[in-house]
Amino acid sequence: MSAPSFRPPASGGPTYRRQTRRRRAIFVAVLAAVIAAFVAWQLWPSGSTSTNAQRSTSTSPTATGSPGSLTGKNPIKHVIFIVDENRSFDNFFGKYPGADGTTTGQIWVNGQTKTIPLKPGIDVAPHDIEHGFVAGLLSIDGGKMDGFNRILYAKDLTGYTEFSRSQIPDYYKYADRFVLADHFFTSAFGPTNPEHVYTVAADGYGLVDNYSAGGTGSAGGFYCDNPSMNVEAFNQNISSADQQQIMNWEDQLGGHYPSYVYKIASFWHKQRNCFNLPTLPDELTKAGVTWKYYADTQNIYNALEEVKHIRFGPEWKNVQPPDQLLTDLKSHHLPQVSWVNPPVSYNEHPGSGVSVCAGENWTVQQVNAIMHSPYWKDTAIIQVWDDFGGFYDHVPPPHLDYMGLGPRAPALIISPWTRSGSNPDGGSIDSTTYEFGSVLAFIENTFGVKPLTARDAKADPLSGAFDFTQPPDLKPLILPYQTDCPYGNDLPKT
Amino acid sequence: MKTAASVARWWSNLRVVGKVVVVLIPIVVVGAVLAFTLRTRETNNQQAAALAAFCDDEQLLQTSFRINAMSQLAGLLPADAQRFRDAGDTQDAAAVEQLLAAVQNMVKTLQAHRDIGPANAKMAHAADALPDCTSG
Repeated sequence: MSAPSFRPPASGGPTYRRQTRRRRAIFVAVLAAVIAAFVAWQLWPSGSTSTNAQRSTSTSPTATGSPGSLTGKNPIKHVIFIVDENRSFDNFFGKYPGADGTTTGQIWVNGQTKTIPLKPGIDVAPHDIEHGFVAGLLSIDGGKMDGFNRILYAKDLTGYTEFSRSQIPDYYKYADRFVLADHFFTSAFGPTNPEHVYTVAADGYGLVDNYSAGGTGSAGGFYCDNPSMNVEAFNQNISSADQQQIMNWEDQLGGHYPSYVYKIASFWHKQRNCFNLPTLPDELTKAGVTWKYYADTQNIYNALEEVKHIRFGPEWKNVQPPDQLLTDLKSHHLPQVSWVNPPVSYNEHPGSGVSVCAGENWTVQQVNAIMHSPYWKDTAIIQVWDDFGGFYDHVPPPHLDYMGLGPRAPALIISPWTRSGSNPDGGSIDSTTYEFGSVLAFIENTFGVKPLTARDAKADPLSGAFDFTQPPDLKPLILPYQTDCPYGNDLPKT
Repeated sequence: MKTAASVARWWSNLRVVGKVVVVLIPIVVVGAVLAFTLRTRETNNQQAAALAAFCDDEQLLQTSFRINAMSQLAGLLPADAQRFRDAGDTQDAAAVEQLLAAVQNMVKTLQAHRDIGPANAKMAHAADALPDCTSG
């Protein structure tokens, strides 16, 4: 049997002509598709990848999803918002069972993404890692989360480390018993200054840095107390089209560094580190809700030192040193809302000899005191870290606006009223998308105060962390200090 | 056989000078090729080292416009430019020098508390011409 072979009819009849036309049509279609694909490839921004498509990009904060609502009648009468420094979720809780963590990280090598194992966490980090606005964008790399090795001072990969239960046992115990939020994102790409402003205002005032000139030396003071201190910030009233353009540049920055930095920076101006913006403390004052901001002054962690009408107005009396919290607890003068920024030596910031172990002890000291106090029964403690600190995290943040969101930070929610779950001591993992605006939304919900901005208006008010329909678990969880820290083992017992 | 015999006859008819020339030509050609190859490899290594050093220093641009970081960068860029120049890469050397001028201008702007717009425009212009640190 001979193999069938195609041979056109000698006459070139109608069947052959039909087949020829069909083949030509197919050929033209394929050619057109190839040309179209080539043109699209040439025109498509090089930073865009399939991973980017997974990252939600929206100028509206609704990208976090519709905010949930707190269930049941809210019994909380005291909120304590602790803001530590510079940790990503994976750095602290990447190994927590059941949480959205990882034991490997993505690094950027010659334009390619490679996977490496995360090394053990370092209690006293050898140095700080750049974690400013641009570093945050490079790390996120349009959602690929592979640029954490491209940032300044990250070459030794100290950012690709993660802690274990044995290193931060008390934080793990809080997660076991209460709530660990594993999709809590920082509000901005970084660094400290805008993030802390977000914790009081649900807005970063467009700041992209701590301060660029006029440090403490030139005039002796800090922020509002130093007339020569200034910082870069986004212009006010940027059009919607320009905002979208900035966000596109932000998504593609990794492939166009440093050129796109200056395209974005064309929307920046220089301003004093002293300005007015509406803050939640203002609204609480108007509503007759007592508050204090426990923080040292003369440093970048004190956002209210930068808010002109507070720094130079009657509310400044509510800004008190961190250790005053214990005094107020003992003397039964705890305000209804407290912001707590730990002392610099206990805030867990990498570099300068600061120990995570000692920082954890300081937190335990405060939490033990709260649990021993009569306030415990109706108190909610929310502990977060202000920015990613240059540490690896694997979850792409939603791109809400040109300020953020930034990489995830760890977040613990500690209260008799937290939602129970399957964590070892009955706690739960809450995977609702949150940012600092969520804590403000919770405070606003608790005390009947209106939202300040679109951020807190659209943020979920920690609805996944609380269940007010269940009876509270009032039993305190008094934890011991770690005794092998470089310092802080001798903090007074509370 | 016939060819070998004719080559032998041609060789024996050559004068001493001719014989020396015939022997030296291939040695010179091979030597020149070798020298060119080694030189190119060395230049490529120099170029790669210059690029690596510059890309490390360029990370300081991530600090936005911190005056101390910009001053530090301004101190590092002359050596970066020289490394490119030593590698024979005058184009990248010039680009780095252009960045140096832009950074120095930015430092002055920050020190004088002036509007950063014009200084940023210079930075943008300089950044567009820089050696590519995103693919290497």
